[in-house]
Amino acid sequence: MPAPSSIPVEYFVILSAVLFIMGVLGVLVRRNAIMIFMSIELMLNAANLALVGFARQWGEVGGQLIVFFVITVAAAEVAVGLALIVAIYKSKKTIDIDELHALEG
Amino acid sequence: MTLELAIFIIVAAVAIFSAAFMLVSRNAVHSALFLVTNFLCVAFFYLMLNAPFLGMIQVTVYAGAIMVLFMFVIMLLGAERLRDEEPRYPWLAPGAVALTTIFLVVAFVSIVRGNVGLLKPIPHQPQVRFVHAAPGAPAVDVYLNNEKMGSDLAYREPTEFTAVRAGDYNALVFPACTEADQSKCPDPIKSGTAPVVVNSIRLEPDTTTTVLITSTADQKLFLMTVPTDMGPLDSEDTLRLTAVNALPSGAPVSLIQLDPAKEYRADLTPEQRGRVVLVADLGATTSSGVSSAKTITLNKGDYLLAWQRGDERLMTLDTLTMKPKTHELLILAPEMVAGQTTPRLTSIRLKPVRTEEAFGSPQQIGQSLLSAFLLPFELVSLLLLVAMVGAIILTREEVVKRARQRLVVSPVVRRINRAVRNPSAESSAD
Amino acid sequence: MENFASLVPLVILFPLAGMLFNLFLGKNLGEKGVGFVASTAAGLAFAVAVIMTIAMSSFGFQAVVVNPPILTGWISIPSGGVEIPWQFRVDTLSLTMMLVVTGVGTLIHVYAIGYMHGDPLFPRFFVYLNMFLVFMLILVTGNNFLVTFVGWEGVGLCSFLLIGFWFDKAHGVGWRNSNAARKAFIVNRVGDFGFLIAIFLTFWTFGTLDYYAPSEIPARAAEGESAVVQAAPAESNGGAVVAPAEGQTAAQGEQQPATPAGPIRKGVFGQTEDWLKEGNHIVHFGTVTLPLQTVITLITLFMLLGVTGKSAQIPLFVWLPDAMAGPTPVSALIHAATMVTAGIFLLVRSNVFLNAAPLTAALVAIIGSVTALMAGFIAMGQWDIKRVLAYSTVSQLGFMVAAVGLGGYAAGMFHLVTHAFFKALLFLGSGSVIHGVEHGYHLAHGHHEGHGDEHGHEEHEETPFDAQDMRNMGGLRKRMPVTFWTYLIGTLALSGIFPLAGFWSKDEILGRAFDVGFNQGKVEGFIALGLLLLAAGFTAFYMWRQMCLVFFGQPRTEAAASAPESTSLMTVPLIILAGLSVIGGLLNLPEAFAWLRLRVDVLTGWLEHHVTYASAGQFNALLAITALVIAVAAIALAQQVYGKAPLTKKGRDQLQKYAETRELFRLANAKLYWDEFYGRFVEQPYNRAANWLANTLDWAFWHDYVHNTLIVGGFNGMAAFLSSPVDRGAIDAGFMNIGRGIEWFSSRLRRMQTGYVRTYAFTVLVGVLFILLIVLWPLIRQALGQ
Repeated sequence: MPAPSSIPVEYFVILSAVLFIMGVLGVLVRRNAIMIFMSIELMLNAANLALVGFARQWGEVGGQLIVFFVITVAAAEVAVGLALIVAIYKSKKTIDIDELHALEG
Repeated sequence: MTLELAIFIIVAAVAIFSAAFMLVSRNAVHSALFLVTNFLCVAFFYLMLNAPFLGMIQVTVYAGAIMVLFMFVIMLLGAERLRDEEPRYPWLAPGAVALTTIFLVVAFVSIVRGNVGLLKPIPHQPQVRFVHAAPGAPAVDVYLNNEKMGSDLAYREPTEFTAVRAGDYNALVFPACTEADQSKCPDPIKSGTAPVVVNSIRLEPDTTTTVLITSTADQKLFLMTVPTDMGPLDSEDTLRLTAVNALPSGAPVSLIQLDPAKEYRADLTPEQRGRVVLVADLGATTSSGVSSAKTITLNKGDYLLAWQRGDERLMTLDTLTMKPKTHELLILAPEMVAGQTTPRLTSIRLKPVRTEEAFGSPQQIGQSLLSAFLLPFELVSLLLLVAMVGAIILTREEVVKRARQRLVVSPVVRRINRAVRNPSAESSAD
Repeated sequence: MENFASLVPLVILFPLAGMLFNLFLGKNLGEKGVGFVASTAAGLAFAVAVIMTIAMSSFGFQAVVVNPPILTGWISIPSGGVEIPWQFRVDTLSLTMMLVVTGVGTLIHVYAIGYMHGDPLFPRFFVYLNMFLVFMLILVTGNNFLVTFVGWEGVGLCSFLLIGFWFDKAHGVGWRNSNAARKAFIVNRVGDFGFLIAIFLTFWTFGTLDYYAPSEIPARAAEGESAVVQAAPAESNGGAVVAPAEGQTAAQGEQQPATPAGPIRKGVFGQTEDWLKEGNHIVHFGTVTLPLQTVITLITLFMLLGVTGKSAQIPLFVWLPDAMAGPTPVSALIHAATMVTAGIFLLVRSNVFLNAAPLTAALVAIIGSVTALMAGFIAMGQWDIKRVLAYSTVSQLGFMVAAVGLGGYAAGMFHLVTHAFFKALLFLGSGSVIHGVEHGYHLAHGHHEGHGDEHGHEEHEETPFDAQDMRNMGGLRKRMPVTFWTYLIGTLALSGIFPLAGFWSKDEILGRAFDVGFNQGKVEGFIALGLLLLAAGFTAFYMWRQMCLVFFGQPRTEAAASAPESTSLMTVPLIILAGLSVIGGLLNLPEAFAWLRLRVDVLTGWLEHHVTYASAGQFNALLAITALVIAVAAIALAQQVYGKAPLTKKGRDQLQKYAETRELFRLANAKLYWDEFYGRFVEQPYNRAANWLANTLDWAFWHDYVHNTLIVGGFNGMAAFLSSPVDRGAIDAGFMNIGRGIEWFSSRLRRMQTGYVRTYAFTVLVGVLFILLIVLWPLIRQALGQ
């Protein structure tokens, strides 16, 4: 059981929310696919931060384990996603996602 | 404003600013570097939050591997500089800003109002074990309320730690049933057998308790609860030792550590022998059955211990090897030997039990990962494998088409092709 | 007695065997063979009847009810209480009928071999004749009304088949024959309807149709006892039911309880007697209740309808004259001697009923006498030789029916027997005459066709030659002597000339009428007496007219001039019947003649054993002499009128010479316009109704309108309606519009799929925000509330 810390957990959660918001903004605003990806990573990190903060609050190590898995999955996702971007670039010579609308209705 | 808080604010500011710069930077490489900074800040936060392992993982995997990957791709695609074109949906950016502002407000309000800080850890269930420390008593069965905790406990035998719900219990001890097949034992509670000894025990959450079955001088058994602290030790090399005096009478005893080099030298005085009093003043068991027990923390190593009453050496124990991060239990109890009227002293040393790991330590994470979370662990590793393979396939070069026409056809396929071309010639072969 | 009585199935089986034999093997046998088989069958049946008669008189006149080897439990519905077994009854009445039928039948079979010689359908004729015998014998031997009815219907069928035997002759003759056959059958049907209603009423009233239960003995009413005595099963030989003839050794003369222990149900007549003795018995018909007397009157009235049909009385006699279209043996057998007497037999069998229903009896008597007079009148104006005899038959049947109606059951049966003799004789004689004239015709014109087709042989005639028209005959006395003499005997017997058979029987009837009228004071007796006397006069008159026209005088045509005598196959039966006509009176000499040392009242005594109300008549010498005088006077008158020249110079009847008699002759010749009457008031409305039903109701209304227009048209219209406006217009359109609506909607919705990831992400954000708000709403509200 970790000792109670002087920093209330709300601070961490608020920080996590702010980072998350910034990640969302990045996803919506930027047009470069890589930038969007990075914003997604930012969002994931924000979530991880909130998880770890709560894990500490609850005294549950499970929260940290979730973060462990999230990091792993994020790694896998990044690998595949970047591979996709590379493949797209090869065929379309651009990574501007506004150019990628072939699946429109 | 404690130091902690100040550090927190500084690091938080760095994180936010680096995130902001990441967003607005035109250069993708700059953005990536800013993101790395952000990751490092987050790793620092992990350290603050008692998650050292995760912090290291964050740095290694996220900042070290993932961002490197990003860098590679940015370089590969030459996406440092981006063209500046008219956005297709001009309403998107302001709309996003508006929505995210609302989001932020909502989150803020709910976090502040939500009394998140009042979350308390869920208390763990109390753990309890029983030890038969009454020499001369036969094997027993132990029941907590209606549940059988230990069956056929012989002298010196402990049960394992069992988690039970917190609350008040009646601990009942019955003579062990001697059936070979334990399932044939009659339920002593249902059959109304009189227990040998009954005690009510209160078990609090987040506690670990050892219940000793000891006896008074007149062979009356009683139960003795000894709190056993199994929490994580501050130091990796230390261990806990609990000494219990279960003698029914007599002056208080103490447990002393002897220096093996000096102890048996006759030329030294008792004071020069380098005895260290580990546990002092353990009173005898009271008539109501309350024994005294004390817990100390020791370094790991080999110990030569002895029970002493005043100046009288009661018992010398053999050299005990104490392992770190364990909890040792030593009990001084009387023993009836056949043919003698006065009891003999004996010291019971129970098997040491490992203490818990520290919160967030790699050991703890490793323990959980490989026991409770084994399946997700395996699945995620599989996922990584698949992702790897997928990434490779997605990015490979196209096979030159020309080469395909020279593919080697297996003999089976050639045979089938022949048959398809000439059906009449093959009909007899069906 | 039981053993002999058990032979009675043979009486039926012999003709049946003959019929089947001829049916399947007839074409291989040849004429002689077929005829031989058929006649032998009839003869054997006669032999059996004789044996049983002897046995009956030897064993104490005990009536026996015989169960046939099969068909026991013929109609058995235990849950409904219906038990109608097929049982034979051997008693004096049925034996009398059996003897007449088989005896005269055998003679006619033999005659027919000669008569039908050369007919291409020779075997079929004998099959039919034997079949007729089978049914007639079933009729007379039945122990219950239903068996009798089977025979009744069967003889009607055979009559139809035989009348229309030559249905395929050319030039409309075949149609005439088949029309006559149909007329006979249909008119009989009306009578059968009456009989059936009587049977239903009987069954409803009595619960059974048996005449007498096997253990009953119909005792003599004259002895003053109860009419029916219940024989206790334990007594000896009392009417026990006979087991089938073969097997069952226990049945040899031992007593055998006929029915299971318990109250034995009496037959119809027994119950009638019992209830009448009790009095106050009522019969329930649903909600209507009637006293027994009324019910019996109703039963007998309906039965009377059947009798008038079968026995050719007013109003259903019109078929009999037309039935002369059949071959003469048929006319002789069926329409003179046997079938037409079935009605009288039925009435005699139901004497208990008639006795209990005096109203019906009176009606029967009146109908009989009126019919006798009317038919006698019509006979005077007929030209066809057989028609004269037909109307004569109707008239004589009227005598019998009147006798029965007046209570003279024995008298009626006596006249039945004697009439069978001389009427069969007369018919066969006329057949012989016709044959001769036909032969003469062929001889005269050099044709040697077969003798089978006698009606209208039309090779080179403008009008076909009618061999039956008496105007084409004449002077046959010299040409056909045997025929002449036997015919003369028959005529005299029929006219009632002493001491021939007809005198005795006719006189007994007249005596009965006198008795009923003067001694018992009933009005029907008076009426009957008067009418019957007149009818007797007419009988003598028209018979002598016929004699004059046919045999006396000179031949009026070449055919008659060259008519040969018939073969012995035909003449021998004539002689036999003539002999019977002469001595037939001995059957029932009245008591007054007991001084002759001859047995008297043979037939009456014989019948009295089993016909409850049969009684001997009193011989009234005055009445007999009066009748004789009337007959002789009529003959003399006829001789006066027709003796010199049977026809006028113009070929018309002598009676047409005189103005007073011209009208009468016209009426007689026109058969009193009965057929026209029926035609106008029955046939035409019936045809019109049938036409209307068929054309208007069935075709126009039902078929065209209801079916085609309403159902088919309506269906088609509804289908068209459902298909076009409803299905295509509404349902299809509805669904199409739904589809189009969806299409429109989806085309709008499609625009959401922009293809741009960022818009998707934006949408996701919107969604997330939405959910977040929902989840955190209480918190937010709390926050806002502050």
